[in-house]
Amino acid sequence: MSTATYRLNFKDGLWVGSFSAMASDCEVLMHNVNQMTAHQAIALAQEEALRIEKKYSRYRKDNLIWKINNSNGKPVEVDAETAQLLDYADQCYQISDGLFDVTSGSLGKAWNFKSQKEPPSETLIKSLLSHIGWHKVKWKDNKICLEPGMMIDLGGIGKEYAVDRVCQQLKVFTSSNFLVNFGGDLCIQSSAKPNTWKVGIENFPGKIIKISQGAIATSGKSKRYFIYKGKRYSHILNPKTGWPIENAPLSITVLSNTATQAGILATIAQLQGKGAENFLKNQNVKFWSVK
Amino acid sequence: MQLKNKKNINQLLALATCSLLGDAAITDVKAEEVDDWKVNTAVLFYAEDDDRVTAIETVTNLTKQVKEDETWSLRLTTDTLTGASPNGATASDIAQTFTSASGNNAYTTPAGAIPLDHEFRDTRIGLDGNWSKRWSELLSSDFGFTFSNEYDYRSVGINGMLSFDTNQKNRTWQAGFAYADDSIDPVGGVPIPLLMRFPPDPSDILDGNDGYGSSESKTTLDVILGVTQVFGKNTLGQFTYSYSDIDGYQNDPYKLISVVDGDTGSTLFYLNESRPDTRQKHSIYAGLKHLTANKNVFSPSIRYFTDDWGIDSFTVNMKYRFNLNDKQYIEPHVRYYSQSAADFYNHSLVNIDGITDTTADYRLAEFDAMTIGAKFGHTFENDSKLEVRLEYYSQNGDDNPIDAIGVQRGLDLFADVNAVILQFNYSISW
Repeated sequence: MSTATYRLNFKDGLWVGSFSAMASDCEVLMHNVNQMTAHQAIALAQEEALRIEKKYSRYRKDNLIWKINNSNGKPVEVDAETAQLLDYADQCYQISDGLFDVTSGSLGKAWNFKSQKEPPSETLIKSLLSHIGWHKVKWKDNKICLEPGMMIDLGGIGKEYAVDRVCQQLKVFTSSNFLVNFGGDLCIQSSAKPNTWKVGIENFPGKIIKISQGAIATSGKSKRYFIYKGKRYSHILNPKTGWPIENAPLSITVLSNTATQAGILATIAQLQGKGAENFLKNQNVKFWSVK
Repeated sequence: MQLKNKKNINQLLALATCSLLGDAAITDVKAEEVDDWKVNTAVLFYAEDDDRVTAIETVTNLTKQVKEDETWSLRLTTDTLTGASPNGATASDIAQTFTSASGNNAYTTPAGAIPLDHEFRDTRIGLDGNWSKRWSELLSSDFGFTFSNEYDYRSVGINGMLSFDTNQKNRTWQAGFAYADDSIDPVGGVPIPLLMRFPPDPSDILDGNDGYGSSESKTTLDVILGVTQVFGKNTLGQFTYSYSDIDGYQNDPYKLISVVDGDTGSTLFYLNESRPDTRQKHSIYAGLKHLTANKNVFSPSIRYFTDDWGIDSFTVNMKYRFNLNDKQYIEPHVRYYSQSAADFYNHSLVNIDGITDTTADYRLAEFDAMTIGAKFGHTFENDSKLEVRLEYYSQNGDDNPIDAIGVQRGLDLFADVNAVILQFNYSISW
């Protein structure tokens, strides 16, 4: 692994620190701080982001997730932070009636929206579905036990969780105003006046939101879909059927208290297909969707 | 799968998130959507050489996005024109004297020069409104009104356009119309077409009412059909057909035509011009927009126009936008235009027997025009944009037509136009 480096620039009265983590461009914008504080803050943000990436990436072989996914039916004991995240995943699964499922990652073996030209066979999907379903996971007393062949992927929470964690730590570190933005998922904390940040909304040219406290997350960042025999296959997969959700919006951006919550709401909304907007309206959250 | 019975998912999630992240999950969100007001202001200076027309135009455009799929806009335009404009009479070997449109002044054009009416001045105020709405994923509409008022001219109109997307939004079909009702109330009344007017003796100026009619009107119906097609990732093509049907008074009330002696070419007297009271125009337009690998934009287009007055025209337009950096671009622009004369255009008349329509307006003559210029754009830190456009326009007709007679052969019979256009455009949204 290469040595972690970040860039720090002073631009238009703001310190802008940036680095790469979790396959995203990450940045922290700080107002009214000196250069040393800015350096410390961006280093802190980077350290936390890389820590979470290292700990929860399913593409590594040296972490807890790999251990869980290769446990061959044996229980694996997890630390307190992971336990909290798994509890959270469990609650999201219950709240969404099983639509948000951290065990659905293996569907990626059947669907690849970057290069795919036609849908996979029903047989392949059925075989993958036999290894999907959080209800099959034994999760109790800080021990997780997966059936052989199952896997978990916290990627659906990880980046937003990292944004919120960094935001929390910066809040302790400084009373100055800052904005944490990891690949478009962002969290803002600013109590010192002037305290509003102007944020543009993805895929809504000209749409500007003034935020002094809150978070924004987008689900479905790019137009990932393919068309086969006149039918559009979107990248929003239903973990119960293994097939794409029909008429799911291309992207949904949600404003909420935390990036984690905004991200989950956006994801659950997309899983509602054409009912996405109605779902969010009923939840009384501010959102922007692109069909 | 619809979560119909779980209206409180957001609250349940907030509780779950609270145990994951602590208080942050339940602190208030402090955010407001910024009202999307967009203001666009522009000022344009237009100056023809030889002290001819100078124009200053200002445009203020206000756009408000009321909903994600609905926009209102209002545009106020003012135009001020001053200077001298050809009155239609041909150059002659003797000085020529005319009464001004108001009938109160006379002006004399020296021998050999193209007569210009120096009293040409006008102020126009225009107000346009537009309502734009997307009805579904595929269908959107635009409806608007137009209003324009000058001292001697008033126009009111409505317009509408439907756009329909097909082929995964790679193709957009458009159908639109515009209807305008204009009334013309020239200074000193409406001149009676083909009425003879003799050079007045400056001491005996016409009182401006003799032989003049009441006010006039015309209606214009435009129909537009178009298709826009996406070709791959970086290219967009547009094809448009437009049809116009104009009915009513279409003369320029301030234009004359000279009647000259068939042997000497010297001016004998003038007629008020006369144009048909109907006109049907067709035009087809084809344009491309291509985004190059380094995000420059190449926009070539062609347009062909024909009407039942006998005018055919062809336009080739090329723009190439170079991005200098993230914030600045420069866009060179070249346009070539060529038109044939209206069937009833004459630089001057010899025989007036049986004449029904005739004009000597240089805008209805055969001519070529070239526009060369460039636009520079700069985006400021607050996302406002400034654009500056500088163009040179040159219009050239036949100065020495082969049917020139006698003294006309040594004279310049076409009023060429050379003009400079400078425009500043500033837009900001908040």
